[in-house]
Amino acid sequence: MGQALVLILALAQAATPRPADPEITFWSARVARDQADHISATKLGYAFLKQAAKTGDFQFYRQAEAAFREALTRSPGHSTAMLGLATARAARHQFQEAIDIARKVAAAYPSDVDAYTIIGDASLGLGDLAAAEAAYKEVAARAPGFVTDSRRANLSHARGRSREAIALLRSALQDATSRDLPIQSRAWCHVMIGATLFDLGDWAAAEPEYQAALTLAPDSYVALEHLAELRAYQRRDKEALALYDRAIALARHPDFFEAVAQTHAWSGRRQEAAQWYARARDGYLAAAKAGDPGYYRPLAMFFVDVEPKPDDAVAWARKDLALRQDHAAWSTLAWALLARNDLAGAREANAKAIASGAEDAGMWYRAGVIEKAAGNTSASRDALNRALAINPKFDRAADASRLLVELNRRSRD
Amino acid sequence: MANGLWLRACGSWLLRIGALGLLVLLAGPARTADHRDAPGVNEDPRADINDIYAFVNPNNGNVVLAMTVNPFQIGGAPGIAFGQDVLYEFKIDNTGDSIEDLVIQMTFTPIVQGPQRFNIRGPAKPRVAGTASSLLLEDAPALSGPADGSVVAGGGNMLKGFAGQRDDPFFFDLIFGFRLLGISPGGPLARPGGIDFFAGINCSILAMEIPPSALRGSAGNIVRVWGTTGRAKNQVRSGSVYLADTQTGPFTQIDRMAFPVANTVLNPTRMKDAFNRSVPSQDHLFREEAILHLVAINGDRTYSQTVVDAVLFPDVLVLDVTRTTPFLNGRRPQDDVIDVVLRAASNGRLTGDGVDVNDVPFLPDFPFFAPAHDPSIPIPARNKH
Repeated sequence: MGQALVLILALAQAATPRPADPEITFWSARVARDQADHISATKLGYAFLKQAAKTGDFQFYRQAEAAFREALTRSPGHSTAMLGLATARAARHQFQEAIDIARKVAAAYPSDVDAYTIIGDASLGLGDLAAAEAAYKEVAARAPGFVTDSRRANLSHARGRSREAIALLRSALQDATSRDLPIQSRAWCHVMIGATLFDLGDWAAAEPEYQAALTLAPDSYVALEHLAELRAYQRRDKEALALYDRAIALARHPDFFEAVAQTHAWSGRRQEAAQWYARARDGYLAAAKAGDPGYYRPLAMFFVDVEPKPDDAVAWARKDLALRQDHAAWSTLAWALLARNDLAGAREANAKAIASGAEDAGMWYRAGVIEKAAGNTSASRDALNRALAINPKFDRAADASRLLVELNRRSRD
Repeated sequence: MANGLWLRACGSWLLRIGALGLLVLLAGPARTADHRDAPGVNEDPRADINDIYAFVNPNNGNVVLAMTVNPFQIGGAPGIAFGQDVLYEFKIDNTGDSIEDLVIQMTFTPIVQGPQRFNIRGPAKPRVAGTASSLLLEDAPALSGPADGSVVAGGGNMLKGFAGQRDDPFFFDLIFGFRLLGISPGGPLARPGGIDFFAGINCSILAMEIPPSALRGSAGNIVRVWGTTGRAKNQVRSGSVYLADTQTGPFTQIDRMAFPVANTVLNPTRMKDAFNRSVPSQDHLFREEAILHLVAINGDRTYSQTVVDAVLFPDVLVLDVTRTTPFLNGRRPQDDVIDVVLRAASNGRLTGDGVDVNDVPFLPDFPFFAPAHDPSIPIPARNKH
């Protein structure tokens, strides 16, 4: 057995405080039983991926990756292990590597739908929407229904076509229901529909979607966290905090800590907010140090909005952009550069964010602030109005309205 | 004010995309290219046929047909349901032309209506033969019952039915065998055979017992059997999770299976899906590739050609319904089919995989397959010979 996998198995047994997953236990024993057994090593990798999905614990991706690499050492070119490795690499935001691996599998096995879904998903992560669309066309030819519709929904979302995304998610949900796909798949559809509606400011329509997800999967930390967010925005902070507690008990994500901090801050509890912000910052930094690139972007935003450290913010934003070049990565960099008083850089990055076509209230708000700083009143006003048109209830909606009043007053003066 | 919603909505690839990919994994046990024989069925474990069994019950002379699906369920994990939109079929040729004269169809109710139940229709003449099947809707089910692993008694031409989670009856040193046969790269293993990959692993089984008289045709006591799964080409969605969708139009064949590991061993991966979506009477289209694959193992074209023509193609199980003899007379659960395959493929050079019996004993009567594994029982390192 490869030394890396020995280490990973030891980690799996020793470091995980929760009860051992029966699948991981089973396939670990099989991997140890026969040092030539690449299939069990592959199954172990997928068991780790499932745990990652279930718990949100990023370390499982690392363990999955080690198991897939072990499988490929035992049987070079094993396509199932290659696709598992591509999935794990994509989860760690190594999108180009994931695409390269999946392309090799697609070349060898053109009928394999997984290869194309990974290429599409990773392309979306990179912000290459044309490549994602091409890959999803291949997916549609091989696996119509849930797999295709859910992917196309994500593509529509990335293009700012929220209503189209919702329609596709409902179609995916219907297919998942008619085919008895696991409840997690159906719950995910409900949460994504709810989140998209929430992004449009339609809280009343979002709520039943979250509730439907929780009816299907009461222990879905994703559904709990989304409902908590809704409650926080509704200023029902006791309920929000109780829901965040439940979500955090299931998945200790530092961005949940920040959301708790924000909930306290909105209610004027500064001391509690400060404690949770500190916890979030430490969690982000620890996760980033452990190799989780998913928190580069939150770190950049944190060091602009919460604990101003512009140089750090720019550094984290650039690290994020190196891995994915979607609209949010450019918008984050623009925001960080503005904080560092690099107005030209901020405008350049912001232009790239906007060019993506994304309909994201936060992005347009930042665009408005940047243009205001550049003295472009008209462009600033347009951007702020667009932000409010997309989502009149987004988290900076009050700031946007205030800025608009200010801009209008200046125009009059 | 912090960045709140925007962070999560735009920042998390894993939430929108990554989790989705992983959710697809949750649709069934993780994919593998092995017991699952082709890419097209990898994502569809409920329609993925592992093995087909056809044998005569030595206790009463009736014919038992069984199909295993949903591979790689570990002991203790809840059984994966049968597909409510999958048509499970046994196809029976009783005239000797490898075209089905009779079909037996098994369907399942949606889980959301409560515990799944099976409906068996047939044996009856199919509306159409080939890769498109139509439900025998005009026929009332010959037998219905809960898909919970209990044996349901019937009558007439369908004496018993069974559907549920069981031990996977296949026994095979998969790693050893795949390396020997060149399915996995790297050449033969340094270690000896004898490790049963399927020990401790469960699957879903559907089985039925039929009087031989219901199957006989102009070929007398000889029937040729294969299994297929299909999904409806068109579904009319009920719009309610509490109502089954209506299947309309033909079912499109997704998988077929008869001779053990035939598709896995004989066809290159690029052709496996095509094979699964074809019919035995078209197997000549795959003949040359199969011969070449065998020649790579045994080095003898004439011999390989004989094996393919006399034994392997058309890919059906040939059963004499009056005899309880082992494989190649149909296939019984206890038959060490892999040793037969290895010997035949290698022209006797390879003697077997060292796994000669199942990890748990089979039952003496219907449904014959051993109960599902309990995770508290350790997995044997090697099977007892």
